[in-house]
Amino acid sequence: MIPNLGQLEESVLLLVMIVEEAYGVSVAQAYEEKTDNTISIPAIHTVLKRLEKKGMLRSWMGKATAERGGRRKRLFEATPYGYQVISQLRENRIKLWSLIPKFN
Amino acid sequence: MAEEREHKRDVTPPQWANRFLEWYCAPNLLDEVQGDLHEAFYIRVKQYGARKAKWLFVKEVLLFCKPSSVKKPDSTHLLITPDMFQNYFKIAFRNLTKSKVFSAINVFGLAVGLAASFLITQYIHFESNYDQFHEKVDRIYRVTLSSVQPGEVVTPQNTSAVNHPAVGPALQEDFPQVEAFARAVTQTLFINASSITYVDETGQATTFNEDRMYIADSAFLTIFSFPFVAGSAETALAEPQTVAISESTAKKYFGSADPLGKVLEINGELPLTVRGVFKDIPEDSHIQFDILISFLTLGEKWGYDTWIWPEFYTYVLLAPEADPEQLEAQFPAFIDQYMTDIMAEHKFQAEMHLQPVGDIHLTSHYNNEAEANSSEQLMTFLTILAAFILFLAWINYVNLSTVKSLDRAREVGLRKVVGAARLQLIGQFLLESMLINVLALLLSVGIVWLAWPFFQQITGKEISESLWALSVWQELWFWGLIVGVIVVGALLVGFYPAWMLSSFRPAKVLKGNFHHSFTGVSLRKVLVSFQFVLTIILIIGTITVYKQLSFMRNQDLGYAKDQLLVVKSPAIYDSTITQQITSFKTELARHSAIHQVTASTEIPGETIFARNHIWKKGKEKNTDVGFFYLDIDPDFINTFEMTVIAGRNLREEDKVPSFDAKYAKIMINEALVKKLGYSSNEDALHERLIFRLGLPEVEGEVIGVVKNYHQRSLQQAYDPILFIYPGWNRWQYITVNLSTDKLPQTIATVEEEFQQAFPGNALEYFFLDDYFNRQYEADQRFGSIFSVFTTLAIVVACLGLFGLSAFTLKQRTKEIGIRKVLGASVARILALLSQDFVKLIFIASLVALPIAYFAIQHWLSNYAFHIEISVWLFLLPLLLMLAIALVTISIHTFKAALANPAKSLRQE
Repeated sequence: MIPNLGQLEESVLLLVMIVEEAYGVSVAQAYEEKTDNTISIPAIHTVLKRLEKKGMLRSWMGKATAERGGRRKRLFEATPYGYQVISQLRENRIKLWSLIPKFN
Repeated sequence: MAEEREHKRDVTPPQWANRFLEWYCAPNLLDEVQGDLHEAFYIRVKQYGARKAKWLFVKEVLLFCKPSSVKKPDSTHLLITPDMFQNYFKIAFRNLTKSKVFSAINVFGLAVGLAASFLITQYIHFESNYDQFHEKVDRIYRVTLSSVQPGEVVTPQNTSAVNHPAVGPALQEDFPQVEAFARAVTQTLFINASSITYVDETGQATTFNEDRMYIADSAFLTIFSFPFVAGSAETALAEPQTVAISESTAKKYFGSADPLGKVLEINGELPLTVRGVFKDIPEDSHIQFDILISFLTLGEKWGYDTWIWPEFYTYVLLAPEADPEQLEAQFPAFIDQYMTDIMAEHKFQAEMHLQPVGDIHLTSHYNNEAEANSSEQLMTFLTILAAFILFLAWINYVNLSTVKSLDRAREVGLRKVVGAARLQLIGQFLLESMLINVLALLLSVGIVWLAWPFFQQITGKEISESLWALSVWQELWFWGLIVGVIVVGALLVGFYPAWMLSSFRPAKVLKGNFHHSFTGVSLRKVLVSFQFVLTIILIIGTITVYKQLSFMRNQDLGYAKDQLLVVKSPAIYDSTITQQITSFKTELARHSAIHQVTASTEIPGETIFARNHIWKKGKEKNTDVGFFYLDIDPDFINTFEMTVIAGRNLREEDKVPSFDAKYAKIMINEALVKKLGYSSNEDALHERLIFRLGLPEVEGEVIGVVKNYHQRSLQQAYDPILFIYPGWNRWQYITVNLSTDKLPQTIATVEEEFQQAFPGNALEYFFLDDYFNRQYEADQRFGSIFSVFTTLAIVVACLGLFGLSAFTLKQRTKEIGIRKVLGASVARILALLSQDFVKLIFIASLVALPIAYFAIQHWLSNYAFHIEISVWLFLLPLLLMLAIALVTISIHTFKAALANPAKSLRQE
């Protein structure tokens, strides 16, 4: 049973796995870079929260740094469950792709 | 490099958006959110430039503003957290149940206040929406007629609700704005009494006497929108000898059979075909009837085109765009065109006005109104009364809560110690006050429900079948009003106690010997005095109304009203009616229980129909004065036990033989003597006066002067009356002066004689005192509404006083103990405890008495005969107030004064 995951959720989950030090802005930046779409910070936040709630991400508050006026970041990383879900999704996709009738 | 830094410092996220974010955002999210937004902002400045970055920042701040990221209600920022909310409720309920008397007084007092206001609002709503059920109500006007003398203005006294029959048709003819007109005239103008008979197929006859009957134009039913059950409004009255009847009348005569096409016979001579059945006329219609006869039935001979017969209610329907004022402005020319000659002959100037039909019930008090109307004054008065009662209940709440707050000082202290902010405490107490208000609202619904039938009875109006069928339930404004009263009430009465309670200093309160002295005392005194003021005014008002009513009922009317039985003369008669009545009188007079019998055109208690002008012989005609004709026979004076104070009574030989006699012996009453300008009653004797009976002038010789008596209610002054004994009259009433010993037998005798004298007629009779007192119905109703609500007000005020005295005494328990130990007597302590309240009553009366004086003076000036305003009228209520207050507080004071001092002092 694969949990229901939206396309944006899937992308963000993947990006968290890719990006080093994943937090709101870095994920948003990566998203914009890798997909050529724009996205707002609140939207990223929402998705991150949702994924955390589903247990695919976990988060902790980073240390205060000077660069953001001393404000701390909430850092995210994927949980083992997150990895499991993403790989299952991938397998499913591949299975489905293989079922497309070939014409040539 | 320096330039870039400069640049970077310059570009910052919009401060207001940043601050907004800080304001709403939950603190645990603020760091990450704000950090991310700022970081993104600076990245975007580089990417897209400052403007876009700023714009995006604002947009994202707004996007973040959603429930999940908004601050949770927080004790340091908001008044109530869910947890505390629960706690407040718990405490509020515990408080309510802990001091049951206090809560009961508060809740019950408020409930009574709300219920009273609700009832009064309903009544006012009902009274001010008369005739609104007519679809075209905004366009329907009644044309009133005023006859003014030069220099006079239009007043209710010189204006009548009825108009000449020719006015309606002429208005429609002359003015395009007048779409339609309708006349309605009471059947009593044409027939004395009306027995309606229905004979069914089997020959079985059903007969009733009907009096709610009008003769109306066909358009009457289309201008107004009385709903029809059978037949159609357009055609029901379109032909002669047709009739439209109400649903219940139809049932009365025909049972469940189809009423359409059935024939009703009026007075055994005129058949009328039923062409329509309308729903029973609702209570909120200014004109009430069961039967409408088509106007065409009257035939040509009645003179539809007369300009001097003001007996017809005339309604016009104006075109939708017509301006009534502009139409009214053309009336003087209209009147001149048709009435110049008549006005010259009768020496008056006619004026006509358009009266919106919807306004009739509350504003119209002209002569010949179709029904007794209410008044705006009464509505204002009731509004004030409702406000008074609500105020009294609110004051109770404020007073009791401030006093009660002493008990809660410790709670407040503790809450403050553990960190309650003042606003939180205020919130808590406001919540409690809201709770009490809502409880009161629920209770008041019960009270209203129980009181509803009784309320309809005292108002004399069937406002609605049941409480739940009221139309206001569907009105948004009404719900708004209820919510408004509760919310505003709760805030209003809750705020002061809340403010005061929350001001306690915990250190002081918790030390244990918190002293019961705070600033609430003076405010409480003011409020209690205000209650006293209201109550005293209401008591004075009630006593005045009551005394005036009983004065009017018991005043010597100038005739023996208690043993007079009035028989209406028969509806079905022929040309021998005058002789028949004479023999009926003779037959009746033979019985021993019957003292005297007389026939007359009017009886006391009604306005005399015939009026004219009279002047002294030899004087100019323009010295004339107005007077009322009363046709009587020689037995009239003795039957009514009136007095002829000068000259002699009329005798059989004084009968005026015919309508065009040139000479007549007459009697006049004192009021007419005075009006004609004679210096004494004797001076008037054998004087010759000129007036008209028919066309020619009649010379009347005054042979007697009748002592003044009240022809109409005591609200009116004595009418100037001329008494004459005409030989041609067919009389309206036969009045029997009887001994009241064996009343049932005597009435049976009268009935028997009546059947013999006038076979086929139904006997209709009533007692004169009932008939006379019917004029006071409106006053009576006013009196009962007033006294019921005054009683309520006093009850509410007493409740408050009761609670208040209980708590003030509790504070003084120790003081009383010490006094007793030192030798004070119970009486002295009672006096001491009561004096505070007594003082307040006196202060209150200083304010109340002048107000009450002007109010009752104003009210009494409506009555030509009224009670004198005496000192007692003010002293008595004051004493009553004192007594009520003392009795109320003495329940507690006695207990306190009698208590064993050892007990109260041991508490330390």
